[in-house]
Amino acid sequence: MSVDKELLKGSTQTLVLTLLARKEMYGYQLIKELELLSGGLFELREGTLYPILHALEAERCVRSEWSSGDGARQRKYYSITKAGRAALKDKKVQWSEFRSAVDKVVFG
Amino acid sequence: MEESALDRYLKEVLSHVRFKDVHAEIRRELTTHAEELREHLRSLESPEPLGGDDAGRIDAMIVRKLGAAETLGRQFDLAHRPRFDWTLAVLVGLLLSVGLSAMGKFGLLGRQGLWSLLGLGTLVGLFFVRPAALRRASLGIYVVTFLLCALSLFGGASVSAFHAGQPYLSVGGLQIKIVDLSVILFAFALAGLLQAQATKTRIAQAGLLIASLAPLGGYLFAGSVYPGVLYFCVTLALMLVAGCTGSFVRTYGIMGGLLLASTVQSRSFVSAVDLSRVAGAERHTDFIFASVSDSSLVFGVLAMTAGVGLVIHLASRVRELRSPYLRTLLAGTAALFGVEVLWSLLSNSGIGPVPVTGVNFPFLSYGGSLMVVHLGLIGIALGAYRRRTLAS
Repeated sequence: MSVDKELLKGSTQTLVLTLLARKEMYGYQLIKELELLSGGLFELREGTLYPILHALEAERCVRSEWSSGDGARQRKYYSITKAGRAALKDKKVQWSEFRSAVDKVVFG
Repeated sequence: MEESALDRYLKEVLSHVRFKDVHAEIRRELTTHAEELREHLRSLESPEPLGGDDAGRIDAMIVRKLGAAETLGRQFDLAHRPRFDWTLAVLVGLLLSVGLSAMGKFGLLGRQGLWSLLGLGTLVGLFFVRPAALRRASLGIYVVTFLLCALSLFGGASVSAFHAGQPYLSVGGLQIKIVDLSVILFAFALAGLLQAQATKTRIAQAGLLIASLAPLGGYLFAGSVYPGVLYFCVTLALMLVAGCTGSFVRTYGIMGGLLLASTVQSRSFVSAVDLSRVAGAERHTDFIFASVSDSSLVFGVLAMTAGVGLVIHLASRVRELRSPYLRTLLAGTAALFGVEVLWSLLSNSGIGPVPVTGVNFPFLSYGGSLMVVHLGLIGIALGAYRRRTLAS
């Protein structure tokens, strides 16, 4: 089963911040982790993750640093900041309220 | 050589991102991602080396997985849309207006207006200069400033002039107050030189310490206490923000502090201002704030609010920047304006016991070269905010 991309769009920042709250990751790793944890349901256009990360960085919710991963390959690692954790807390509350409201309307 | 599908794709993505400074970072990140994808896709296919057609096919698959170039480019453009620091521009505009209005009363509006225009030109020029170019110029600026100071002190009548015991540099009929100017130039140079101090060799670190202390020793040796204090405070701020090691900052603090303490101890202090006893020339330089407040309380309050606001605003912007070099540069600028504004307010209002010689209230006091350099620093600060999302 696949989900409507529009449904995913509004919650990508929350998903990204949630994953980064667990450990620092690079872009490709984030996408694979998202696919794995959602059982393949959340499949992003891979490039679109980066503008989201850059926007979060501009808002000081995440910070990034280039460093060598396995072997000689340079990777840009993203980690969550204190401001990012606070934003995530807010987003989780918003999501919970939004989900309850949708459930009430859709399922009665 | 023929351009690959991935190169064409990256070019198209970047064509939608207006902020050119960020192009290299985006290209690097997407290329790294494409390499990861390529490795993954190859592992799913034949273990044999791929031929030209297969490599092209894999490139096409990568491009498809990355998503539409135009959409991606527009999303990057939104994330990196250049922002202008209007608050900073307004604060400086207010100070300039009050300063120029005061100069009108002293009959100096034409000359100061001309210097302000020259300063605005410098501001615009430095706003667009890339940080990497500024940083590369650090050592050169340090050496040139050092030579100019030495020339003005020991260069003979054709290049040096002394007014009230202060050395000036004579250039084609212009008298440049090189001591005050050199504080800013040295600080600007050290912002670049102090980067990654902890990773340097012991000899290089000792050289940096000497390079940081030498101007301070020079100021105090020449009897310029205020520039010495200003330089000391600004350099400490630079070292703290540049991430210098604790032992380096402590050594500088102790040695510089001892130098300052031994000089300041012998100086007289003034704790109150009686404008009627202030000489004419000092009313539009050292005592400009008192003069402005004396002629109009509204302008005085406006100048004080804008001056303090400018310092707080610059300091609050420091942590918004990603580049360590730009952070250091902005912290130095905030410290420089902070000491100047605070010193002027205390000495002009008689609240604090601080010496009143050689104090400039940024953008208010009369003075050409300082106006140009101060506006140049604002240009760098505005440019730094515009590039706040850049790592280096």
